[in-house]
Amino acid sequence: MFSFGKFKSSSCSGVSRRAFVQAGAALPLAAHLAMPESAYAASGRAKSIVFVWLWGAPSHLDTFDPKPEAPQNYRGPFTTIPTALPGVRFTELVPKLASRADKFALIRSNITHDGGHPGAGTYGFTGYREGRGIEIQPSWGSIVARHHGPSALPPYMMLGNGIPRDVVKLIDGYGGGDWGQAYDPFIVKCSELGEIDIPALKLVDGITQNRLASRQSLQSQLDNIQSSVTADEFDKWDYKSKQAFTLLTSRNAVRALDLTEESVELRQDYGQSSFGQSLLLARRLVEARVPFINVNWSEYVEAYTPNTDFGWDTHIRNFDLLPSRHCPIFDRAFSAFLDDMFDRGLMDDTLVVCMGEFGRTPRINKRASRDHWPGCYFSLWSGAGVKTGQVIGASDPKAEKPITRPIEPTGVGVTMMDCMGIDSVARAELNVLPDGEFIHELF
Amino acid sequence: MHRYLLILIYLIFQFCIAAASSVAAEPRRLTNDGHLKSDLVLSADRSKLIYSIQEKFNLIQLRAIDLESLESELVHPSANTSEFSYSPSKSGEVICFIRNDGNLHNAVVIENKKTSKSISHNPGGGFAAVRRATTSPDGSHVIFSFPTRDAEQQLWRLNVDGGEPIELTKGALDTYPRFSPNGSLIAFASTRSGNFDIHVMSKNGQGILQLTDNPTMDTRPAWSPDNKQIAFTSNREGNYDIYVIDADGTNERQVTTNTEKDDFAIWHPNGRQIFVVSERNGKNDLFLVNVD
Repeated sequence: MFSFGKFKSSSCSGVSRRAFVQAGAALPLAAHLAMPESAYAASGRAKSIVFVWLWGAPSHLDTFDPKPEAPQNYRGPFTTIPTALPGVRFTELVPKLASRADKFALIRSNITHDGGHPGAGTYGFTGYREGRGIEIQPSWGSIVARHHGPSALPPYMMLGNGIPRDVVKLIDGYGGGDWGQAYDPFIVKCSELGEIDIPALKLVDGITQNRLASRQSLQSQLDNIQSSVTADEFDKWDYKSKQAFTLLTSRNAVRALDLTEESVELRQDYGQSSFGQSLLLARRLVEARVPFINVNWSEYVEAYTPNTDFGWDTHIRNFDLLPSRHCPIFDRAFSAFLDDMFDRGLMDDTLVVCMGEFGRTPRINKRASRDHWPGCYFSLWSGAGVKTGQVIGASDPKAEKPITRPIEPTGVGVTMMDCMGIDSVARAELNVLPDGEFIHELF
Repeated sequence: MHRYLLILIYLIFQFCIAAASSVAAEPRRLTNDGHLKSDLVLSADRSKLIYSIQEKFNLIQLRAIDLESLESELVHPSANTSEFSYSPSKSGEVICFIRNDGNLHNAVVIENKKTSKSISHNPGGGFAAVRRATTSPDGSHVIFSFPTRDAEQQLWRLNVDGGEPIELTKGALDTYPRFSPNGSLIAFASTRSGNFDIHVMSKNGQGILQLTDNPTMDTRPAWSPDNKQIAFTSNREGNYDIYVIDADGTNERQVTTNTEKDDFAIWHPNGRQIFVVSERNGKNDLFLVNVD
């Protein structure tokens, strides 16, 4: 394997791009022959990434990697159903996505290196560890934002209730890390009715409106604000407030955030849930050419803790909450999103990735639920040349560990960055993602 | 000619009857807010439907809707932590519900108006949760589901004044217990058949009888007022719909055919209709549906 400096990350040929360039100078024809055609298809193919994160981490056995032949204390109570793919079965909790299994690729061999939400969340968003004395790497969205440069809309937008966290601490890797807040995501909250809320505006004295029910009301309020804000006052605001204000004084930006422009029928297809309406908003932001959109299931990971918003962390009530609440919401919303994106022809140059921090313990615990399991979990991929209708990787008979090549967070990151045209040369220039193996099976 | 006229009048009459029954079969919408709802139950005086609702992004509350006026109000307006699975005794003097009391921790709360006592039963400490609960019609005790062993979730009986709960079931995931109106039987969902199916047993946990048997999920049983039928949710057709079965396990039939979800059935006091949470156009609302 060719390598350059500390950068060992590879593209789908297994050869780093910089090493490839160096080698290509000597052996251009041979090098080109060595790189499969799919590598060219993947690199730079995407104009946007929609990164859907199921905070709290859903059970892989109870959704996309069921083990009906495992003992009852592993397989759980849910039966399996056929999917659009011959021989591939999901559980009964995701019937709509089962019928759309030909619209995405399923990876069943993801692993991570931390069993806690903050640590695994940071791994999932940056590829690297968080902790005292360790610099926080920039998240995928921050890398895309820096590579992309300034634009009318923030290049890294996070749709959710706030900076993801558990009840103890924030997920360090959610944003720019040591690059600073200039590369943090621009956070937009979206209610179950599609009302938009911009937390950054709350930081600005004198601006009290935040719930934006319609573009007309938003625009008139912003016009009032704009006329009342002096240059001196503006200079006193912090970065995020300036960014929010500048964004919202752009009529095109406001229009991108306005779900009332969508038909009632389409909004209903996504379902009356914050997650569903956020996915619809993500589609509008794809159309507005925002390069990195992170849609979060919840702000908090916890499934049932006071003042939290019902994440997938089902240490309790796993077999109660999944069928009665979480899976129906997810199954409906994500199915509608895939349908909508394909119907509009947006998937040719949009990469969609959906996953959580880790899986959940294959063996059911003494609380009749499942705990954290970093050893094996799933991810869903679609668009930007991803070969849909395939299952990549496999887990052992109890879904405890992959029996095929494990897919690590750095591999997820390298693949996403490559699809956005941020190849190993660009990554080296940005000093990010020195490791990671491109998931060539996707293309 | 006169005979043809009579035939025509007869056909028109039959058509009108068919049309009228068709109209009567249309579900009646009770709410229109679309919020996520669950755990329906009738108030003791049968005038209200009480249910869990998520109106705020981080809170599930109990709400009661008047079945005449359709006006509704929060049961505990000042509640600042999630509450669900409300269940009153027949007189309404005893009620229980489940409350989110801490990090990944749910307790069963029992309020006894006769004694003015309120207890919170917190089995298991942190990371432990009571799942579902039901109050006996006579108000003497509460049945709740709670796990204590690997891959098991038992049903427990607890005196309304507290004390040590008694384990009624074991060996499976048992949940959604519901007392029959006469208090003699408990219907529940159990995985003792391999997946969730509807079972019944005596109030003391004896004589467990499996009522439904299909490879997909049958859950959330609800007794008819005459103790003879049980409504439940099943996804056997690939979508959550309501089914009804006689309490002896015969005469199973599908009641709702909505292309979206129908769930959390509870019987109307007239025994001919059920209240359900029905998802229509992506909104979750309360509907009244004819059974036959």
